[in-house]
Amino acid sequence: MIGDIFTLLLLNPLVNLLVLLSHVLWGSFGLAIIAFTILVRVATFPLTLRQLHATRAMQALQPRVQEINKKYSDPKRRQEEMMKLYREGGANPLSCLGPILLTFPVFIALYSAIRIALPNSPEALEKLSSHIYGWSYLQHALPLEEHFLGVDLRGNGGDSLIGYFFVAAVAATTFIQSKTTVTTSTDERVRQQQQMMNVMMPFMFAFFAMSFPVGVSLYWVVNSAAQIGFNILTYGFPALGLQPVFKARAPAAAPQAALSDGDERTSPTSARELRTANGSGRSKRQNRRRRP
Amino acid sequence: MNFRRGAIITLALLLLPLVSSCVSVLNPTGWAPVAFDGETAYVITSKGKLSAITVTGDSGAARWTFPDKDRDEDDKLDTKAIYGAPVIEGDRIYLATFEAGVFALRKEDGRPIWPTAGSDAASIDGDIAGGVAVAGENVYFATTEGLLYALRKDDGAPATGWEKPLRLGDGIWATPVVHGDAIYVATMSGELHALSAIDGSQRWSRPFKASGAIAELALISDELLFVPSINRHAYVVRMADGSVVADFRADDWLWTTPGVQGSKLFFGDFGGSVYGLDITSSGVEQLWEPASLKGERVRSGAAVVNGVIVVVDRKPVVTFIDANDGSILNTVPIEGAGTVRANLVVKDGAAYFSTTGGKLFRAEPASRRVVEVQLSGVKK
Repeated sequence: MIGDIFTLLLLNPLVNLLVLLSHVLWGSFGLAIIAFTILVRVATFPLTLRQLHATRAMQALQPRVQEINKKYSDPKRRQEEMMKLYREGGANPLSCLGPILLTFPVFIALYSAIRIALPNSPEALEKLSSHIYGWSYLQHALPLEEHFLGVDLRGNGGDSLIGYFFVAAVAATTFIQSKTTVTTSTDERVRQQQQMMNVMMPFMFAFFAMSFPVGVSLYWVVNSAAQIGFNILTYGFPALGLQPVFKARAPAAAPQAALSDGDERTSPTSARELRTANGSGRSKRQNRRRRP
Repeated sequence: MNFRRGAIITLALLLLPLVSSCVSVLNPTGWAPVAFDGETAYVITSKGKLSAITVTGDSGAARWTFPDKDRDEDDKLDTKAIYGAPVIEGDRIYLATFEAGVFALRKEDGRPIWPTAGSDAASIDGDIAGGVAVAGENVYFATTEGLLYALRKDDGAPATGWEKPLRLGDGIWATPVVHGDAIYVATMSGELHALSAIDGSQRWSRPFKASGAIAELALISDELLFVPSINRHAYVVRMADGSVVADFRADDWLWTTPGVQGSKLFFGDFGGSVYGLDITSSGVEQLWEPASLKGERVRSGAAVVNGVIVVVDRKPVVTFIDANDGSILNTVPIEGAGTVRANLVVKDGAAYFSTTGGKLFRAEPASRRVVEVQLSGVKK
C-alpha cells in the first residue's frame, strides 16, 4: 500500500520528469539529473532559506542554552526553560529538519528512479513501461542513454575508475559543505564532536557512494554544490573575503528571565562570527585567557 | 553540517536500500522460446540454463543441461540469462547467452564444440539480449552495445569479412533475421538495417527509421518483416527496399512477435489488448475491436492454430481467442509457475511455452485447455 502510494505520487512523476529532461537535454541522462537537482533546489529555496535562518537563530541562543544547562539540574525544569527560551527567541529546534525530511523521500525516489529509468536487462525495460506515462514524447525518448562523462550511471561508484572520481567528488563536496555550514553549539565538547563528524562524514558518504549508482552520486555532488552556494550566500565565506548576500533576520530579543547575568555571551553573535573574528573555534573569552 | 543533520542523512543512507527495495528492479532472467527437434524440446529450465527434454505425451525427461553444475569446466560459467531461441542445425545447437557469449553445442550431449575452454565473452562488447541467426557458414548475433558480429559456424572464429564487428546503433536487442543472403538488424535507436550477410554492406539506400526503439523483429513472409516499436507502432516493412507497407498504432508498447495466418497478423501489447490485422495492398485493416486481457502485459509472441489465437500474458493467463471475430473462447490461469515472456511455439496442433519458473506447458486450441508437461531429471 505504502509502496503503491510512493510509486504513484513520487516515483512515477520523477521517472517521467527525468525521461522528459533527458529528451530535452540532448538525450543525456546525466544532464537530466543535474537539471532535476537544480529544479528541486530552486523549488525548495524558500524552505532552505528558512532553515538557514533557523540555524542562525538557534546558534544565537546557544550561550543562553548553556546558561540554562548550568543553572537548572532538574531535567524537567531545564526542558521547560529551554522551550521558553526557544519560544521567546523565535527559534524552533525542529525547523532545521524540514529540508532534510523533504530531501529524504526525493533521494529514495531518485535512487529508485535511476535504477528503473536505466534498465540493466530486457525485463527491467519491460517493467519501465508500467512507470512511463502514455505521452508519445516520452515514449520516443526510450531507452535512455546510460553513459555520462564516460561512466555508466547505472554502475556503482566502486565499479570503474571514473566511478571513483565521483566517489571522491561526493567526499569533497560533503567536506566543503560541512566547512561552509555554521556550528550551532558554543559548547567546546559538542564543537569537537561536530568537527570529528565533519571529518568522518565525507569518508562515510564516500563509502556509500561506492555501492550506489553513479547517477545517485551525481545528484549528491550537484545537491551539495548547491548547498555550498546557499551557505556562502547566507553566511558568507570570510576566508575568501565573501560577505553574506541574504541577511539573516535578527533573532528576537533575549529573554532575560532565562539569563543569570548580562555578560557578552548573551549577545546574539553567531558562531561563524566568533570563529572568524577571534580565530578558528575560539571565543573572545578564550583569547583573553591566552593573552599574557 | 551539524551532528543532527549528519546523523539523519546517515540513517537515511543506511535505510535507502531497504526502503527502495519496495521498488524492485528486475535482473536478467531470460525468455528464450522452446525449440523443437523431433521429439526433443530445448527448454530454458532455470535462469540461464538450457535443457534437452525428450517429450512423450504429458511428460518430459531431461537428457542434458547446459551449463552443467556437476562439471568442473562449467563451474565458473555464468550465462546470466538466455533470450533467443536456440538454433538447431545438423548435429549442433547454436546458443546466445546474455553475458557468456555464443556457444555451439553438440546436440547429443550438450557439450560445447566452441568455444573450447569456457567462454570467449571477453572479446564481445556488450551483452546479448537476443538470439543467434544462422546462415551459410556463419552465425550472426548482436549486442546491447550496438555491434553485429559474424562467427564461423565451424570453429567460432570471426567470419571472413567480419574480422571487426559492425557498429549499427546505440544498442541491438532484437535477434537478427536472415533471409536469403541478407541479414536484417533492428536497433534500439529505431533503425532497421538490411545488410549483406557476406560482407555487411548496406542493401537499402538508407535504413528504415521507426519512431521508437525496436526491440523485436520477425519474419512474416518471404517479402515482409514485422517491426514492433516500444512507442506503440507496428510496422510492416518490405524486405526488398525497406518501404513501409503498413504503420499501425496500438494502445500500448509493442515488444512481441505476431501469430501469422496467411495475410493476417495477431499480437498483443503491454496494455493487454490483442489485435487482429489483415495486410492488404493498401496497408492494414483491423479485423475486429481489440480483445482485452484485463490490462496484463503481453510480451510473449502469440500463436495461431486452426483459427484459434493463443496468447499468454505475464500473469500468466492463457487466453484462447477466435481469429475470425476476436471473441474470447476461454481463459486458463496458471498458478505457481512464474511469469511468461517467451514466445509460443506451434507443434502438432498445440502451442508450447515455458515459464520463468522453468516449467513447460502445452496449450491445446482444440480443447481450449492447458497441460503442464511434467519434466524430470532436470539439473537446476
